[in-house]
Amino acid sequence: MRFIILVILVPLLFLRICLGGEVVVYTSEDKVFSEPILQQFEKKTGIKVRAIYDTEETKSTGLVNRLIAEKDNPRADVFWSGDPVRPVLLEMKGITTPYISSSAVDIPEIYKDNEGHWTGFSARARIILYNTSLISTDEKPLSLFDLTKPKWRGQVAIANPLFGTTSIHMAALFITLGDEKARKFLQDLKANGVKIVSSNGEVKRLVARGEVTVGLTDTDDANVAIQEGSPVKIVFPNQQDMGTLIMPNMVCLIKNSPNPENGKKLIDFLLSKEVEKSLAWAPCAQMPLRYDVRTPADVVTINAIKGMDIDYHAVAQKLDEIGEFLKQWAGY
Amino acid sequence: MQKRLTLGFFFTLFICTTFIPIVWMFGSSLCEDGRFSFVYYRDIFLTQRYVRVILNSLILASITTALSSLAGVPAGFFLAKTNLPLKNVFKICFLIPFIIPSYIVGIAWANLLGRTGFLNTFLSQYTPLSPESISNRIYSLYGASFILSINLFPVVMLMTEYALKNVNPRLEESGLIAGSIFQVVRQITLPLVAPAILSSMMIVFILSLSEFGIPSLLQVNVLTTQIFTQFSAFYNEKAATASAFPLIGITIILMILEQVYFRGKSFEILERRASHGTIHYQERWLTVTGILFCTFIFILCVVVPLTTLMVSSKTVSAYYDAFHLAKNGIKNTVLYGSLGTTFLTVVGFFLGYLSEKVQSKLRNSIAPFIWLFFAVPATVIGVGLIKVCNRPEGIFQFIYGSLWIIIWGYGARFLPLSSRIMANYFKQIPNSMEEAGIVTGAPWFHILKKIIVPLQGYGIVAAWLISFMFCVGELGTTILVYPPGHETLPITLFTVMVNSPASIVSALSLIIVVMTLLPLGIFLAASRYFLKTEIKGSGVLR
Repeated sequence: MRFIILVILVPLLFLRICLGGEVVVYTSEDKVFSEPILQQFEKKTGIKVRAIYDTEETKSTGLVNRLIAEKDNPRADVFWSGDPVRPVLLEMKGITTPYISSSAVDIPEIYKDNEGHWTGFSARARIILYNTSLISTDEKPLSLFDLTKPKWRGQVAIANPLFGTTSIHMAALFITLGDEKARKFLQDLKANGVKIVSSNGEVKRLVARGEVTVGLTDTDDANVAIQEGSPVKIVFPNQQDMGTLIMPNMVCLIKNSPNPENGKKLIDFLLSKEVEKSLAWAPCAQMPLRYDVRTPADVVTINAIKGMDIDYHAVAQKLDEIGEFLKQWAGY
Repeated sequence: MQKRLTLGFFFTLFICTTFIPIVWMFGSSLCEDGRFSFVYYRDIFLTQRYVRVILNSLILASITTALSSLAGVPAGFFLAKTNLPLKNVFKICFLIPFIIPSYIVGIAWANLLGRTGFLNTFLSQYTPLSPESISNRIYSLYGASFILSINLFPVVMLMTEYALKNVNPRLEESGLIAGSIFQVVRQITLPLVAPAILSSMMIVFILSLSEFGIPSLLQVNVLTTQIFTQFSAFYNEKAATASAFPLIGITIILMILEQVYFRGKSFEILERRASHGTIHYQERWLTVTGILFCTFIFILCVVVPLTTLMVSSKTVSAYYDAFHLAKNGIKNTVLYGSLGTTFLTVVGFFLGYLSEKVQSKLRNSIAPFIWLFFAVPATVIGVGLIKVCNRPEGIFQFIYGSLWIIIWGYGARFLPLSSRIMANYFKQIPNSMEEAGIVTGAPWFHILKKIIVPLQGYGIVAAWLISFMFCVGELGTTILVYPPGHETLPITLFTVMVNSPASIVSALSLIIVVMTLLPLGIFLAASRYFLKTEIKGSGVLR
């Protein structure tokens, strides 16, 4: 009898009792950058933040899978996405609910959903990273199409185009260039011996070590490599023609979440100038979407680069359409 | 009655923890728009691409198993049967490759053998191989097998070592009177430990089949990368689950082959440990061979990845920063790892007993039934657990929001493993021991406490050690179900590894090694004391 009582009582010892005043956030933004922001919110409001972060191994899509699986009984209040397309996908699956935040009034309309399912803030961009020990500044490629030239044969690395921001970049290229041109570009890239690796982090590692000369990755990965002292520099590609892909963070409220009011407060906070400033000064050096946020001198502002003109809804749909082609292209 | 109720209880626990979430997922993959459908399975059997992928998986698993056995079986033999100096140091060190996340071992070797790597430069200077060709070899099926075997050989080593320790020395002593060491090892020792070695090889084979990290890092197209693509690129859990089906099919085939091989053979060892412990071969040449072999394995599997990590961790401040990041993870890993492992050991003990010692027609089908779930990928189990446990009502809500969902995840993933390990050691215990207890009229719990548990000592230690290493390294299922604030060390590592400096990631990996080795060391010391006391104190063993 004593044994049975113990078996029942011991698990209760580990029960975490929470008397309200909390918010649950799932975030695919890298933990090193998102955790300090969430701690700021906790300090400011006294609302306990319980966060779950995505990992490199789940390619920033583990949490999306979890949100989909939890759809019938949501546990998260807020999803803070490191890219602009996964929230659209969640919206399409009926997992988000509209919330138009008063904090976002001065964020440009192109980064906000009309119905309020998602709202963008601080952005990253797709860039070409090159190794300065292997090539000089004059030799660097200026356009994505340069990477298909014989000069770069076997010297380019790209993350698996089925995952993460690379997949979004590919879909954006299909929209901007048209299917035929985009397919040709990818086929030329493959014919030129492009090295397909597991993630953007791996692209950064290979370029930094000089295993390849150039790679396609994101600004935050590149900035971390630069701060580590790696011999690398950034090129924002296609500034003379279509521009490069700008990828804001996105935040959305989960439908039927357990703490919707606290979730809205967290969204208001994430969309504030204060957070955009913090992310600009963090090692990821993200670009504020507002023009009046003070940034460090070496952080490129969003108006200083030419971005691709795209609609994130269309990108999400295109991603679905070209999935099979990308799978075959990547050899899966 | 006691026996029947206890075994029934633990089998039900297995059904609830492992069977239900997995069957839930496979059940839903057979349903499309509310109707029974094979649409997701048609692709697997009818597409040539999948045949290639399945072949790749089989090649990867076969080479990995062969290499792991080539390293693990001799290592286990030298540790158990020779007077190898620094035996315990070697043993603890050999566990390190298993503890370091395979992804990190992969990066270490990719750095060394990549185009600009130190070893690549060395090899390309002194061999006809070009830097490009060496680099291409590591980014291939063979490179992936090589790295995976470094990661997995400790499983073979541990299971071989404990099985060898379990062998009755009198059998070997009698053999030695008549023949050479070679003959004794070949004709007596090896056949007696064959089930453990074969079982460890099966574990490695199935683990290689379901490994995702290394094939993904080295861009090798295997079943797990296909499954992951379905989950993470297309958010299609049904197609992903269906893609996992061949893994179960392969496991079933392996089980049948194993059953055929072992049919009619007996591995029972009478009067075990009667002459106080394990026989050690004193020959000098054997000790020298052991030193050379173990040093080679030590350099290849331990020194290389550890040195790479130490060199990249650079400064003391990296360790301080890493420790700050890992504080919560360390506490959780040790607590959940210990709880999960104890759960796995206890339930595995009874399941192992059920599949090996219960005299019934069911016996031959229970063991394969438990085992075949081991090949199911972690992600499928994770989503299955969410579907089963994330319900608004009752106890499930409590479980899903607490650490118990992580323990459940460990159970769902590793119960087949722990029960399998236990079953192998049960094979070596003669039924007559238990029957002697029954004849005296002792109740089953008493027989369990006084006869079966002491005789199964090494099995319990091996199951605990191996399960602990698996639990603390588990990522795939935990990442999908862990509640906020309950992250474990592998989750901490993988959440910070992209955008943290390489020095911090390396320091964190080393912290994981130390934090896993500490509880393992304590457990090993405690179990050694316990086993010695049992041998001296138990009337059964005297």
